[in-house]
Amino acid sequence: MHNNHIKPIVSALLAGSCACLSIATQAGHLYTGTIDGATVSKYVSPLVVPPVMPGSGQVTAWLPKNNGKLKEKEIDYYEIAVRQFQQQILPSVDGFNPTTVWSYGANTDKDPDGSARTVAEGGSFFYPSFTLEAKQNKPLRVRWINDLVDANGNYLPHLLPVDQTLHWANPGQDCRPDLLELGPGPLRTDCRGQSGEPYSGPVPMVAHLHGAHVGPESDGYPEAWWLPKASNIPESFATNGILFGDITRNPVSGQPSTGYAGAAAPVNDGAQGFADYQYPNDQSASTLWFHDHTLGMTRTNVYAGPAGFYLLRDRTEGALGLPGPAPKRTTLEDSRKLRELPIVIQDRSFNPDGSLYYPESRARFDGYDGAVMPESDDGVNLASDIAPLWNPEAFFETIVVNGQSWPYLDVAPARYRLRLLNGCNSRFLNLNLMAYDADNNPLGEVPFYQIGGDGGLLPQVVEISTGYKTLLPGDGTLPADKSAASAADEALLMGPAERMDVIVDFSRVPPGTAYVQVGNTAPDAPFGGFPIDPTEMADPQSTGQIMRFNLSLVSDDPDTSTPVESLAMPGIAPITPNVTRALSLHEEESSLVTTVEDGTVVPVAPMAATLGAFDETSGQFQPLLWSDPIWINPSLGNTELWEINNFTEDAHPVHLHLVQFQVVSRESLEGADIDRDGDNVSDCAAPCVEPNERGWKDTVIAYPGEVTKVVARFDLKGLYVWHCHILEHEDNEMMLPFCVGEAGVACPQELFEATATPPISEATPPQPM
Amino acid sequence: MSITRTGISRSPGSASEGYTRHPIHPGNPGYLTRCPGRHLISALLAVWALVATAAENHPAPPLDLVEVGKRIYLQGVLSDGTPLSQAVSRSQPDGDVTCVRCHRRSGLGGMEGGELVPAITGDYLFRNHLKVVTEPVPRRIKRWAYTENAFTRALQSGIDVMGDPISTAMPRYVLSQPDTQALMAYLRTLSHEKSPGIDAHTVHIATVVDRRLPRAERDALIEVATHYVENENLVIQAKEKRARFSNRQNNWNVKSFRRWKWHLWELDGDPDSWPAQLQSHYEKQPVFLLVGGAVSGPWRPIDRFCEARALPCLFPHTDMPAQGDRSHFTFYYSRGLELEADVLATHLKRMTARPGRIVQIAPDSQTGRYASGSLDQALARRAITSDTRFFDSMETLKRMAEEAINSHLTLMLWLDDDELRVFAQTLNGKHYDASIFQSSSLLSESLDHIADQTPSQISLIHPFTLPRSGGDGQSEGFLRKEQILDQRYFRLQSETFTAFAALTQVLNRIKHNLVREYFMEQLESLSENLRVTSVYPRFSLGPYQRTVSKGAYILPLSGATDPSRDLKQTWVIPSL
Repeated sequence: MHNNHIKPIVSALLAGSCACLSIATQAGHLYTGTIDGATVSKYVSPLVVPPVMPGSGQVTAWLPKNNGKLKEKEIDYYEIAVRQFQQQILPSVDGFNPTTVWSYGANTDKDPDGSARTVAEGGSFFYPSFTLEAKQNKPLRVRWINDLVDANGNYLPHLLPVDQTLHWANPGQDCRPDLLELGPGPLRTDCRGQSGEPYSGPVPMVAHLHGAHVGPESDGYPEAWWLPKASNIPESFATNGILFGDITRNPVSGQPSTGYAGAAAPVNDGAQGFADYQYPNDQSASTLWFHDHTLGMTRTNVYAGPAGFYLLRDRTEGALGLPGPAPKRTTLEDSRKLRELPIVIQDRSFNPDGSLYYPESRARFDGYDGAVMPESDDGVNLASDIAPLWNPEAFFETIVVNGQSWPYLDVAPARYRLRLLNGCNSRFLNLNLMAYDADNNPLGEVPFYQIGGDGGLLPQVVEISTGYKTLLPGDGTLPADKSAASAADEALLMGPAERMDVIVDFSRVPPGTAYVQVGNTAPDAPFGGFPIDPTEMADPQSTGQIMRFNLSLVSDDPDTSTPVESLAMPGIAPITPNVTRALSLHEEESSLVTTVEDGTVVPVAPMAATLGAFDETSGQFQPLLWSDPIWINPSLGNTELWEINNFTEDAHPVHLHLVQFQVVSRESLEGADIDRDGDNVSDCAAPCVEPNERGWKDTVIAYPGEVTKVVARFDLKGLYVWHCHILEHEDNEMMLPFCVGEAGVACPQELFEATATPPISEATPPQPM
Repeated sequence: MSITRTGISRSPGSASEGYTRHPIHPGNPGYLTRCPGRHLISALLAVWALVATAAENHPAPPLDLVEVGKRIYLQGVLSDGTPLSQAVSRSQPDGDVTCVRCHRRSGLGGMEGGELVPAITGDYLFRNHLKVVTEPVPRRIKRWAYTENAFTRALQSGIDVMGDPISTAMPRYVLSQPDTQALMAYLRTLSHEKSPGIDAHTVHIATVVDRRLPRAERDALIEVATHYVENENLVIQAKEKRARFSNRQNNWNVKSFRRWKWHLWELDGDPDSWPAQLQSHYEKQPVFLLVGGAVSGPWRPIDRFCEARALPCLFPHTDMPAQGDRSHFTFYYSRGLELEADVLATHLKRMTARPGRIVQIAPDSQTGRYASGSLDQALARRAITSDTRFFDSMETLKRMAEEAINSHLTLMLWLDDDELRVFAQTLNGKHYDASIFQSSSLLSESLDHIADQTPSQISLIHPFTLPRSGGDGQSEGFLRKEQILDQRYFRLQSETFTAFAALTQVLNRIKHNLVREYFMEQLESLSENLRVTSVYPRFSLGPYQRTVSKGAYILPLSGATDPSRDLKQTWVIPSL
């Protein structure tokens, strides 16, 4: 949602007729009063490679055999808690204090005083979380424990400001009757709140394994959150979300899941501070990741830390001869011996005391600090429709890689496998590798060789550097001619939540290379395509830098990994849709916060972005809200083509739960060739699927003014979501449920209608498609 | 395509007229304190379509009437020569109660003390505003045009044309009928005509470059300008393309995607001939404003031209802005050498030990005389005596350096890189009792390099960023990406980039108000939020201020590059 980044701003509440009204407060990319990323010492902290998450033994599960019958089997079991602790993120050489964060770790790593045992203390609590290692077709069960409590067992409040006026988890059940138009009624959670103040109660959490093919009860539905089992939860609070469930009880069917071998055991009532999820791992080797997904507060929950890698491996991948090893132990290993490294890149801001900073007011976005949303003059009409704390996007000035600001890694002249994840809330990344000599003179770019994406291996290795994306034939040769990327400035472009599995060959860097630096040229602002406005481009002194690889190691061992040009990648068969579904992305401007421009009233404030679907009755795309009845009901077993029409000005990383999809095409909404820069020259040949998007994906960049088409098979029954993975968007209406039902049978709508907020418009909602 | 749902629920008919009249909950203290102007806002309410009325069709008022109104508006002087004052039941403290103070020269309003100040141009006030709105609920919104009676009542008793009270932030005035008519006549002219050099599709801009500058320096500047403008037009084109399906764009026409047309105004010969040359350039193609630019010597001739033509000029690269003149139309990064002089004088005055006589060493050149003259004046204002030694060769400099070093007086050096090296060689290793200061503006090498090469007893008067403190990263990134970075002229290039970057941001803000005064007011309000601050630590501009960076570090070279030292403490803003 652009307001030109330095957002023009307004507080002309109710259409004041001032032509200007500008009180923008966000100075450049900096939040006033936070630590300026340019001043932080860089490449003084070594990269920390998260070790493997310690397990908690095995449990019995029911697993299907080939004949469809169930068989009892022992599967790996983990008890993983999220706790609060301190970690040195900014360099201590600059005198910065440690930062209070949240993250996941083994439940047993708890000191007698109740505090988390961190990696520095020999425990497993680290931000980002230790990595879950999984093997194909070896199911794995996790007890996810919300342990955000203090030494006395009292709940810990949120580290960051949570806006209660969004449609959010709302454990205090402080719903707005004026919005519900219900008057006093039964208490419920998962609604828009009344208070414009930041939330101070116990923190709801729910874990989601991003990219996983998993049953609905284990997917981490946004309304399936639970509170910590704290001793001081207020009586008026619900302990869990309206659709809480786990493998002991599917919230929709009321039945335990098939994988649950404890039908006789007590059903989880949601008040225990945990949920048991089971992951079948019946998908290809892939770089998955887990993170919080609570309704309306994912942005702040994830920003506080809880996220980690889930690396699923299979034989096909194992036979390729990819660089390794990856971390094997549950304690820190000597990173000099590792050649497979999960790397999560995130942007954060810090207060001078080292604590995390997240915008506490809408004024930080565009200066609008007008009336708090719920206030009104007659109890019905609102003074403002702008959420008071929520920011439409948020960009931060410190780059944090695996929990350290601008780290370095000593590497040998050998091939390394980097499993990159864009873990930023709003920020896109456009990564390049630049080699420098010892005097900091640039020597030229070093390419990435991308071997995999979100959902697994690519059918061909893609060599990527700024302006080029070249497919390798896989016959032992490197093409002499490089293929141009869609834009001259495009490099390894990653939307939030996208993963890119790449090989960097440090044995083929320019002579004299002392180090290779990862740079970023995507904007410190919403991304809409190339070219990047130079006033918005990532600041080369801070967010334009990511990390550094020092070529300081001499390796005596020969590099036994397969050279990138000789990798024999497995093919991917295209899947054919039998249903087409037209969907849409919209932006909504404030109706109430407006000003007058040349005698025309214009809204001055973005209110939200939404998803929508085509309504055949009206012949129009219909923006939908989280509270609307579910429109999207793929029949079980169907393969659907989703056409995502982007009617906004920005690119959105669209993520579907449950499935991995194939990107089929991108087309201009004008019916013409893709022309992203408006120069009337095609930027992307049909079907405009990037060479590195030809594998399975779960998150796709939908460009403005284009329809992005993806195809997926919906093969598990139940309730899931799809959403924009800009977390600020996701938290404020840019997320919708979809429900996979039996063939020809609609989803059990009544289960949701009975509890969900009624539709907001007066119009009769169209029938589900 | 229209959105039929919003995040707001409302029952139809529950809002409508009452909504217009009582938009704010009376018990909403947050809003009350933030924007007491709310009633005026609601009075001047919203307006989707405009219905032209007879009120608009006045014949052009006589010029003298407009002049009288202008004097009331700008100076607060009534037709009989008496000052404008508040009515007896005054709502505001006495002081400056002129219209222009809050409503600005453009009349388009802004924010004043955190409060909304509405536009009061004739185009807004003297028209009917009427529109039927369907979203989020059907309602009619209207505000009648102000008649003379309504206008008089609004001024006098603070009741707007709809009968609603106007914010108490607005003073109440009693004006005679002729004065009221004169003021209305002036308001009708205010921001009524768009400025030259701009329309809905194109903005013409120019950059002034003195041909006497070295070729490489001119090229370094011109390359930044041409690359920036070419890039900007591509970005604007791409943004226009991206916005094509946006509701926001289609329904509200929020942004304009104006293309930039850039002109190079080269100046030849003696500065006395520049006004005529500038005029000739302007006549060939009027521009909306000047941006960046550099000349050898003071910027004053261009500054004066801009004042005479009411032509904004954005951030020229100069160490010698229009000294002593108060500019309205030219925005400077800093006061340059004059600022350094003031900072040093402030610093010396603050020192507990009386500094005694100050000796300046400066080249016998326009720069040297400008700089040392500035310090002479700054010191004189603080009753400190000074004495300047001008050198005309390196030999003379060396001799002066030896004499000065034996004198143990406080020294101010106005030297360039080569000259400072000569001085440093002379000083090298010798004990020196008093302070030695050196201008940073006159040095072009990097601070790290200077710190390495220069005796540590010297302190720099440094009106720029500290090492590793950001501000110029964006410009460096752009210059590198475009492969036009010339390290010798980094400051010139960074400042030029930043001037254009500021232009991008402010042009995005003026939308359809194509008026120079409004542009400048928006630059003022945006100054602290400019994303790029070039080689300066931070920007700010109060109303009518014209230099964005207002101080300098007094940087002991002994610790200038030590990351553990908190050098921010050494920032000095001049005071007497």
